[in-house]
Amino acid sequence: MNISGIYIKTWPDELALIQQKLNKISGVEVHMTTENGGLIVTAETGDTASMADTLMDMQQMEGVLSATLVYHHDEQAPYSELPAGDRQ
Amino acid sequence: MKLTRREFIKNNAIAATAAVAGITVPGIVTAAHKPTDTIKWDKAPCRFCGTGCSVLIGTQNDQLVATQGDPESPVNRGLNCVKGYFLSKIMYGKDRLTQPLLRMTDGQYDKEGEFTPVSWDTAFDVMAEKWTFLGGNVWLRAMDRMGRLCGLQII
Ligand code: SF4
Repeated sequence: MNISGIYIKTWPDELALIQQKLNKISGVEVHMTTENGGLIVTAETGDTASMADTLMDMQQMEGVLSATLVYHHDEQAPYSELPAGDRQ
Repeated sequence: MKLTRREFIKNNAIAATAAVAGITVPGIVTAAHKPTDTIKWDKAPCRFCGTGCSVLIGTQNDQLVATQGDPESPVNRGLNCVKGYFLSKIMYGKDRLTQPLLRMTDGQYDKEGEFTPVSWDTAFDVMAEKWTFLGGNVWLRAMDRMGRLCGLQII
């Protein structure tokens, strides 16, 4: 289970559009927006690699000025208990 | 309100992100309200680049599970770059090196050989042998260069 908190900045007049686009990404939720174009977003993915991809997709979304990771939680079974193939 | 563990983690993510944006989110129950949460938070500097951002590191059962930019750090004020967030998790990477590898052919050191796992004793013996071979002056210069790269200085 990978859960991240991401702060996104866009132009205030594009905020509604960006919010719509973000909500369409699987595992992504917009929780709050600010008047000056800020969005408080969480993303949930299966592993860290797809979290990095999701973040990259947000950064490259047209209209997004910046997408900054603020919090990252990566929970899995203790390392020693994982089957060798899953130790990543 | 009963929270699942997943919702609880998500709430922490929301609260931390909102704090960076300078706002508080009403109705969010976070770690601050639930001291029984099993995540233990410590501070560590990110070693990836010279900025040295402060990172809050969350561990649970001796396993690192969460990272957050340190809001109290004057250098990074609650933010890290993506390297800072993911760096600590490389400890659990399946392709992480956990033992010394030496290029060898037929059990002997060979610059063109294949990387082969060796003991630490062998690794240090081979390194010592190569350093001695380089001779005093070259050795000192090389160490000095390496020291500078690591931010150290030979006195
Ligand atoms: S978080 Fe990024 S900017 Fe800060 S020290 Fe680490 S690599 Fe450098």
